[in-house]
Formats: sequence, structure tokens, C-alpha cells
Amino acid sequence: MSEQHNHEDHIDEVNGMKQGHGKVPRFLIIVYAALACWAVFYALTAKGIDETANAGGNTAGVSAEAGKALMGQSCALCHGQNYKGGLGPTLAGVVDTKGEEYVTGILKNGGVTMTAIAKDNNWTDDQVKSVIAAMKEIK
Amino acid sequence: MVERSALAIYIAAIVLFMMGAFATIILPFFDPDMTTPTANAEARNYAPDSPEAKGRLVYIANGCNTCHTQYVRPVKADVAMNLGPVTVPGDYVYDKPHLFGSNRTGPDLMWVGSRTNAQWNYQHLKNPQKLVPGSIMPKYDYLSEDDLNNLVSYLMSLKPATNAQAAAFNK
Amino acid sequence: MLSNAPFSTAKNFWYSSIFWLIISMIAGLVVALKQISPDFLYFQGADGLNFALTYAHIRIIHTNGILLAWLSMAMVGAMFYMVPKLTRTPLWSERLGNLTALIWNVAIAAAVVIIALGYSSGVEYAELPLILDLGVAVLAVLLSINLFMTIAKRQEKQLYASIWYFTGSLIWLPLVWIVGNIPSALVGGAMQANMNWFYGHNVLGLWFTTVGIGQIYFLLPKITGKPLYSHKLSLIGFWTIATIYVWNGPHHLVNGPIPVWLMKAGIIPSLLLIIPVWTVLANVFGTMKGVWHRVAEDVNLKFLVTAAIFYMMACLQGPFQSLMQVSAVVKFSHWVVGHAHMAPFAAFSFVCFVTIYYAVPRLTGRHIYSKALMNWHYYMSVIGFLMFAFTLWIAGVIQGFAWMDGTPFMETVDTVRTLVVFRAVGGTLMIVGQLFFAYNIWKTVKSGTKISSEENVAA
Ligand code: HEC
Ligand code: HEC
Ligand code: HEM
Repeated sequence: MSEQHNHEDHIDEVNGMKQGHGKVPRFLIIVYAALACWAVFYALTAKGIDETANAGGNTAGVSAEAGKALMGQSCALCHGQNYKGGLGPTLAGVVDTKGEEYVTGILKNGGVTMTAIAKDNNWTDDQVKSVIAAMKEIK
Repeated sequence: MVERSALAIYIAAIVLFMMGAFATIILPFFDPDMTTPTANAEARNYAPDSPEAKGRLVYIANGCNTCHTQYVRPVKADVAMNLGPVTVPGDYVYDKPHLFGSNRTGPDLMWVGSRTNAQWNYQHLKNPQKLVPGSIMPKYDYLSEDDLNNLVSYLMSLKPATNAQAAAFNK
Repeated sequence: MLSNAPFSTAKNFWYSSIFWLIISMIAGLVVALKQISPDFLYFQGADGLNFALTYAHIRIIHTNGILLAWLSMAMVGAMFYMVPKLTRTPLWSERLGNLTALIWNVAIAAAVVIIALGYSSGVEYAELPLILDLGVAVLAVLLSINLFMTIAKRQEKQLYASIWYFTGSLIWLPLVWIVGNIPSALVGGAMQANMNWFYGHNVLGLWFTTVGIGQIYFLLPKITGKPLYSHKLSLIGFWTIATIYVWNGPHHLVNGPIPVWLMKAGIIPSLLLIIPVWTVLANVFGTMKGVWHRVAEDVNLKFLVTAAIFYMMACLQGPFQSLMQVSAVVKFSHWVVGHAHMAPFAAFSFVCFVTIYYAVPRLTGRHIYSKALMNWHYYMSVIGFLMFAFTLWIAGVIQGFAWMDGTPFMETVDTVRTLVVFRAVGGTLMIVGQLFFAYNIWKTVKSGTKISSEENVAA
């Protein structure tokens, strides 16, 4: 490009096509810079979405609250958003009809399809009890 | 000067292309998440002449994947629609060709085998509108009896690996 | 048998592309109607026929027909016209060019039959079975040889921006095609899906987009008579698109079963694409400065400016929907289908219309048969498309939020039913516009008034 004058009005002809040498508009330069900054920021900070989880939860102490958090994380995908049945059966009233021992068993050892969630995630006994407490509250 | 030489444009274009191709096509081969099969993948690794494998071919020949996806994302919509467990790359290691799909004109079918039963599926394929009034799924009553049964077997196999399968796989 | 007349290749590509345009759009309308009534074109008891005409087969014929037959052939025709014009060198071999056009048509016809018989590879946009994949690769090589030889024989050394774009596209197309169609089938699984979208995205970005921009850079100065605004912008636009576009494949699998780093490797370049897109647009609008009043009277310019605007819209929408949070709502819904028509139809098909309207009078020595029909073509296409797209975008947003609320699937289907009907109405308008186009070109070639020697339209 050395032999060309980078002058606004200078027009040269290439392959029979006229071409000018207009300036790069200022706002474009700002856009380039802003995008470059964003790209670096995003590359360093962005995380994948995980909306299956509500929250983490404490490992000690029994509470229906902690249980709810654990359930949102682990059970909704298979038992439905309100635990009224999906891939797995409804969980409403299951603790009453089948008993706490049965439910503890299925959490620790899994069912035919259901995974052994408590074991796989190394839940403490308190956490299992919290989940059962939360299950009792499902109406 | 690049503008004077078609060859220079040619070479630069190839080099830039290769950079992107390397990052997005070659690098994933080195990510174990992409390549390690899971128990779910194993459960779908059908023997070549099984009804499920044949049913999968019927699924492809009739383009079910133009209306149905087979993947569950960790996002609110998929949780709310009760689609089943979120899928990971390892679940698809034996899917050849992949049947991800890109459009949900109908619901996701990744784990449909655990939501529906064989008899319902058979009837539904023959006449979706009879079972689901207003459904816009086409009738597949033109399929032969064999094809229909194989297709149903395939659909019913679309469920998470059982614990027994998972245990066997982990050994 | 194969003509050696100058520019016969370009003409043959264009005439066949218009034929495939009509066929593929009708296939599209059939799909739209089948989404309204699944019993449309369903014949109780005629099993073989029902299989051939099943929803999926027609949809595959529609997408492949539009992309591989209409848009690709129209663009190849444009290159066969513009490359010799720009290099002021006759095409290396018109005979080879015509042979390429002939094989291309045979391959597409074979593809239609094969897809209707259910022999699809099952992978979106790569449905053609291996044998035809190889056929397309051979076609790409044939046309590259022809065009590269023409460029190599040129007298003037300097190359105009359009030629860079054409050169780039011709080298990228075979690479993209091969990655997407040949090894990916051996791989399977999430890896294949990733390769599949590498192809699916790059065939848009490094073929349709780049050839389309090359055409715009040729047409705009010719039609307005003004020099292209800025050489520097052309350079920036070309090299940034060449650097960034290749990376975009994974944005089609956002939130899906691929690692997060790979998603990010696709999302970042999606936003960075704003750089080449706005650079090209700045060049277009810079060139237009001072001649805007001509848009009202010149249908070609109207088409071209509209195309630039829709290109801008598509490339604002694209980065937006590649973001994880947005994708979580619109993905899998009708929204994506709306987006998927904006650039290929309302931007790059429009550019091809202009190329054909511009070149056919110059090659046949006849005036365009009817300017009124051209106007009708324009208004039907734009109004039809807007109706088509907006109904789909609205439907998509409704679907996205309904799914997040866990609404039973059929309830959402019922909610968007009316919108899907309006989509079909918009689509019908789009087709009617193209019928005007086809008729107009046909009449021009057959019986357009001769251009007298005093009128100087030849460029
Ligand atoms: C992979 C999917 C899946 C996940 C995740 C899951 N379940 Fe299950 N669950 C099932 C299935 C399927 C059954 C039916 C028994 C079987 O076949 O395994 C079941 C059965 C049960 C039962 C017994 C119901 C009955 O009526 O017999 C209880 C209780 C239960 N699950 C609780 C939970 C809890 C609490 C969680 C979360 C910590 C959970 N499940 C997570 C799939 C799942
Ligand atoms: C035109 C798009 C379309 C095509 C093609 C299509 N489906 Fe469907 N499918 C739907 C719609 C819409 C629904 C939801 C309404 C219903 O259940 O009928 C559905 C529902 C289903 C369901 C029930 C899912 C559930 O969770 O209740 C199954 C199973 C199914 N389809 C299988 C298939 C198979 C197998 C094929 C290929 C032979 C196929 N579909 C082709 C649109 C389609
Ligand atoms: C800056 C430019 C663009 C970006 C960032 C972009 C981004 C995207 C994204 C993220 C999707 C996937 C949507 C989803 O499934 O969730 C998509 C789909 C699509 N885009 Fe674009 N796009 C751009 C421009 C274009 C252009 C120029 C074309 C055509 C020439 C195009 C044609 C399509 C098509 C056909 C699809 C549908 C693919 C399918 O079937 O799923 N886009 N785009």
C-alpha cells in the first residue's frame, strides 16, 4: 500500500472497480475495543449455567430447609418440578405410605433406575434425614 | 503485498481456518469428558442386529430427529418440563450418527422410554391424533409391522441405565 | 453439446438455480402446512407415497434445496460472471463450467429422490449420503480449478476486494464440507455433533456470507456509480471474518452436552463477529452516502440496501442468542427458525436477485421485461418475510417461557397454532414474489426489448 496516498479523496481503480480511502469511523474503533475487552472478561469469568440446583446446604444438623435445597439439586429432574412424578413416581406422601426406613434405603442404595444418591454424593446421615423431613412436607 | 497475490490470500485463508478448526474440532478429542463413555452410553450400545438397532435406523429414515431433540440441558425449561437427568457428552459415545436434533416441534426424547410404555408408543405412532388430540405429529401407520415394533423397542430403550447396568459397567 | 460461449456457465447456473428456488420454496410451504395439519398430503393407505412425502423428507429437501441448489448455484453463477469481469480475462473453460452446472443439476435431482426414499445420513444439513457428499466435493474442486485458473491468467496484478472474498470462499468450502460430512460420520456422539455444527455454521459463514459480501462489493459501486467507500475497511472486514468465523460452530450447542470451555470458544467469537459485520456495513453505508435518494427509484438498489439491513439484523440477533442465558430460552423453539431465514433469504437471496437482475440484461442484450414485476417481487419478498419472521419470533418467545413454566407440551402447541398459520401465509407471499421473479427473468430472456446500441448499460 506504500505507493498509495492514504488520502480521503484519493480514488484508485482496481480491476475496473473504483475504490476510495475513507477513514475508519471513530465509533467502529470504539466498538472494536469494547468487544475486545468484553471477550477477555468473558473468557476469564463465564461459567456454565446450572439451574438444576437451588443451593448447596450444610452437612450437619437436620432441617427441612436444608433438605429442600438438596432435593432441588438432585431429585427434581427425575421426580418432576414439584415432585409430583416425572421419570420417577410422585414423592408426595411417600414417607408415610412406605416408611422412613424404605425411603432411607432407596436414597442410600438406589432403586432399579434411581441412582444411590446419598452414597454417590457422600451425604451425611443428617443430610439424608433433612431430605426425608423435606419430603414429608410435600403435599 | 497480499492483495497482489492470489496465492498469498489462499495460504493465509488456510492458516486462519486451521487455527479455528484446531481449537474447536481437534482439541475436544483430548478432553476426556468428550470421549469417556458412561453407563448410559453403554446401555445404548445396541448389538448390530437387535430390534433397538434396527429401530434406530427407522427413526433416522423417517427423520424423527427433525422434530425431536435428544438432549437435556441444565436449564430451567428442561427441569420444568420434567425431561429427566441432564445429559453429558459421555452418554452419546456410541451414538452413530448422533441424533441431537435442533428443534422441539415435539418433546425431547432422550429418556422417553421411562415416561411412556410400549403399547402407548405403538398406538401413538400409528395415530398420534387419536391419543393426543390436536397433536401435529405425522401418522406413521405407513410403516411395516416389523419397522413399527423395532421403532417401539428403540424408544423404550431410551431410559437411564439401571443400577445393575451401572454396576456392571463400573467393574 | 456443452456450450463454450462466453458467460454461458453463469447463465446456466442462474437459470437452474431459479428453478430449484421455486421447487425448494414449495417444499418449504408443504412443511409449513404439515405443521398446521399433519394430514396435509397424507393419503390413507398409500404407504409408499406417505413415506416419500413424510414431514421430515420434505423438510430435508427444503433445507438442502435452498442451500445447495438455489443459493449455492446462484452464487456460483455470480462468481462465474464476476471473476471474468473483474480480472478482464475470459473464463478459463466455459465448457468445464457448463459441465459443472450439468453435474450439479443431476446431483441435486438425485439427492431429491434419495432423500424421498429415506436414505438420509440423519445429520442436519449433512443429510446427503456419502456418495453425494463426495460428488459435491468434486464439484467444488471443479469450479475452484476453473475460477483459480482464470484468476491466475489475469493481466492486472492488484486484486479487488470481491476477489479476495471469492478466493477465500472457494478454499474454505471444500475444507468445511469435508470436515462436516466425511470424518464426522465415523466419530459419532457429541464429537460428531460438534463437527456437524462446525460444518453447519461455517457453510453459512465462510461460503454464503463471504460470497454474498463479495457480490455486494461488486454490485454496489456498479449500481450507484460511486467508488467503494474505503479500501481499509475492506481489508479489516475480510481478515477479521477469516479469523473469527471458523470458531463459531459450538454456539449451536450452547448449554448442551459439550464442555463449558468449548461453549465459550464458540460464544466469544459470536460476539466478535460484530466486528467484520459492522465493518462491511460501514463500507456499504459509506458508499451510499449522497445517493440515498436513488433507492426509491432503483429496485436493484432497494433490494441491495434491504439485504444489508437484514444482514445487520441477523448478525445482531445471532450473537444475542448465542449467550447462554438467552439460548436457555429461545433454543429449540420457532425463534431459531425465524433467525435461520433472515440471513439466507432476506440478505443473501436478495443479493443474488440483484446479481441476476443486473447481469441478465447485460448478457442477453435485453431489458428486464417488467419493472413493475420487479417491484412486486421486492414488496412480496419483504412483506412476506417480515410476516413470516415476526410470527416465528413471537411464537418462539412464547414457547420458551411456557416451557420454563413447565406448561404441558400440547398446551404450548395450541397457543402458537394461529401464529404457525400466519407463518404459512407469510411464506406463501414469499413464494408468490419468487414466481414473479422467475416469470420476469424468463420473459426477459425470451422476449425482453432489445437494448439499442446508444443505451449503454454494459458495464
Ligand atoms: C435418575 C433419576 C432419579 C433421580 C435423580 C432420583 N430418583 Fe427417586 N426414583 C427414580 C425412579 C425411576 C424410581 C422408581 C424406582 C426405580 O425404578 O428406581 C424412584 C423412586 C424413588 C422413591 C420411592 C418411591 C416409591 O413410591 O417407591 C423415593 C422415595 C425417591 N425415589 C426419592 C428420591 C429423592 C429424595 C431423590 C433426590 C435426592 C431422588 N429420588 C432422585 C428416579 C430418580
Ligand atoms: C412434525 C413433527 C414431528 C415428527 C416428524 C415426529 N414427531 Fe413425535 N411428536 C411431535 C409432537 C408435536 C408431539 C407431542 C404431541 C404428541 O404426543 O403427539 C410428539 C410426541 C412424541 C412422543 C411422546 C413424547 C412424550 O414425552 O409424550 C413420542 C414417543 C414421539 N413423538 C416419537 C416420535 C417418533 C418415533 C417419530 C418418528 C417416527 C416422531 N415422533 C416424529 C411431533 C413430531
Ligand atoms: C454474527 C453472525 C451470526 C451469529 C453469531 C449467529 C448465531 C447463531 C446461533 C447461536 C444459532 C443457533 C441457535 C440455536 O439453535 O440455539 C444460529 C442458527 C442459525 N443461523 Fe445464525 N448467526 C449469525 C449469522 C447468520 C448468517 C449470516 C446466516 C446465514 C447465512 C445464519 C443462519 C443460521 C441458520 C440457518 C441457523 C439454524 C441452524 C439450525 O437449524 O439450528 N446465521 N445462528
